[in-house]
Amino acid sequence: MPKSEIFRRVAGYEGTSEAMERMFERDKDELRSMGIEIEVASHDPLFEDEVGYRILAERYRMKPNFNARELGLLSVALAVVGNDLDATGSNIAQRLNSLNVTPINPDEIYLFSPRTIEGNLVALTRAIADRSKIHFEYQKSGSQEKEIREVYPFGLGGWRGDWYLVGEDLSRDDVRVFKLSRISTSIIVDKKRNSYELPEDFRVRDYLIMLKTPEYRTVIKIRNGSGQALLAKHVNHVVEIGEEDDWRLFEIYFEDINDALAAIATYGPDVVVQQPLELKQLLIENFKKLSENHV
Amino acid sequence: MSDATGRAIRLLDLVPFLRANPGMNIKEIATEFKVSVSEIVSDLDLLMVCGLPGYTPLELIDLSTDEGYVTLRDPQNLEYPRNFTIHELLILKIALSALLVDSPPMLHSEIGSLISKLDHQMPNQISSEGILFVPDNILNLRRIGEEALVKNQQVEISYRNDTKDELTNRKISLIREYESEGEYFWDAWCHLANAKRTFNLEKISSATLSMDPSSIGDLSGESAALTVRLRIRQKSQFFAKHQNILKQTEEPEIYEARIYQREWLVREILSAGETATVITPNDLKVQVKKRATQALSQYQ
Repeated sequence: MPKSEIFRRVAGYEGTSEAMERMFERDKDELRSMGIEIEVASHDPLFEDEVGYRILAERYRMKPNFNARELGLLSVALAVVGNDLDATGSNIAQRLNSLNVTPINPDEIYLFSPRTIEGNLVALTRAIADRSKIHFEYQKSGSQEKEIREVYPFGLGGWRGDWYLVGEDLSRDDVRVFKLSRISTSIIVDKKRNSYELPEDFRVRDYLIMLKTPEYRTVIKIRNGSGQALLAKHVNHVVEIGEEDDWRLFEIYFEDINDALAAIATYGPDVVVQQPLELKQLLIENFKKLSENHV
Repeated sequence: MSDATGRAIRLLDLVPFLRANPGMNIKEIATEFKVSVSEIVSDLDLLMVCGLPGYTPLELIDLSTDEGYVTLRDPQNLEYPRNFTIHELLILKIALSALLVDSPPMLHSEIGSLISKLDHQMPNQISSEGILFVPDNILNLRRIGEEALVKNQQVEISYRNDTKDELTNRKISLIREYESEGEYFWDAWCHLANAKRTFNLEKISSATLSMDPSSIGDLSGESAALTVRLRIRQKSQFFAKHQNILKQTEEPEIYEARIYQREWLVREILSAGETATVITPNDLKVQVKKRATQALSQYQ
């Protein structure tokens, strides 16, 4: 449809041609933010200069396809946090309900009551989606003072029921982590969109210390029948690499040298470090002091 | 959002909704879309004259109302609902993350696949790894504990006992849950030990609700505590970890503690090096010395 036709037929386009052009651009932006792309193309093969605007159904229709079971999970997920999602949640649910697929609800889930999610999460997800600057009042751990922070929000991480914002703190010119429960005000989202570029290969995991994979590599031998609790605790970071006589040999990853020392020393003579040397020396020192002090 | 855009979006949402939910009356539709009845009537009037080029009755959206009930037979090319916006994709990821907490581990991979499916829709300017929620065993255990207390049922757990260095399966009847220093514990009647025990949730590798009803035995005959005297350096990790059970004496750096398991204390002291020393009882001191000497011999 040519622009002139749109101006003539769609209610609301009034005023000077400049004003109508501005309104048209605004409406196109709004539709784009709602996932609807407007294409520009020639609508008349004889007059290629005369462009028209169209929305292709295949460009805006819901992707991906969901099966009945997946729809069930999505419906229950929305119900879990439904009270906190305002119109966004009900609009998603309504469109899922328009798919002509009857959801199969998972009966393995026992729900006590809708879960409360952080009040600021909805505003934050909007800011991340629009790449808009945000500001809020923040109280650092162990501090009584509250500071206003201006942040480009990059991502969110959830751990043990708490949510963490990872973003560029503009006054500190560095990427920082903010615990949402320490944000004491509602988050204000700037209206300007696309204010920043996300760092290449950004991953929330790289900034949250509790989600980092342990990287301190040790080689230890464990007496047969011992160290069961140690192996169970580090089950995701253990590789069995051999055995000798009454011992089994493992590669185990810990957070750092102190974490390794505390975990291994409790087993006394039943768990012995082979590598690295620094940890071995620390353990020898630890047992020497214990032996000297307990006389 | 301007009125014109809002209406355009509503019309696009209305067609697949009416197609999938035939026979709704206009009042229900207005409630669903959070607008007035007259606005919905006006939307339906507009949809009736919308269609594909040609604009003969065959190319128009086939929609009719009968005594206030709406039926849409041919949606033309507007059959499918509108795709998710980036914001909606992020919201769905958060909702699914919350669901992970409420769901048993057997569902985690299914929910994880669904999250990946949504991640594939994320445009380049948003990192698919920009929202991350780690399924947390502790939160899941707390939900199971809550359910067990509400339904008055036993819980079957697999427990890692660091003191005895063993993994055991046991049934327990919960008495209460409490938090200390950021860690969660269950006080429960253990049907394996036939006594009251405290379980650190960090050490429970799996838990399922049992069909057996909860039953708590006699709580009056708990095992007697042993009082130990320790020299502990303040500001040490040992002090920070155990300060809630330490009672300061008149002598500097000397503390008393009441403990229930000797082996537990020996193991804790073994990782403390010079920062903690047993003073009394003597047999405990001898045990630490013996274990430390044996450990040293492994490095010679």
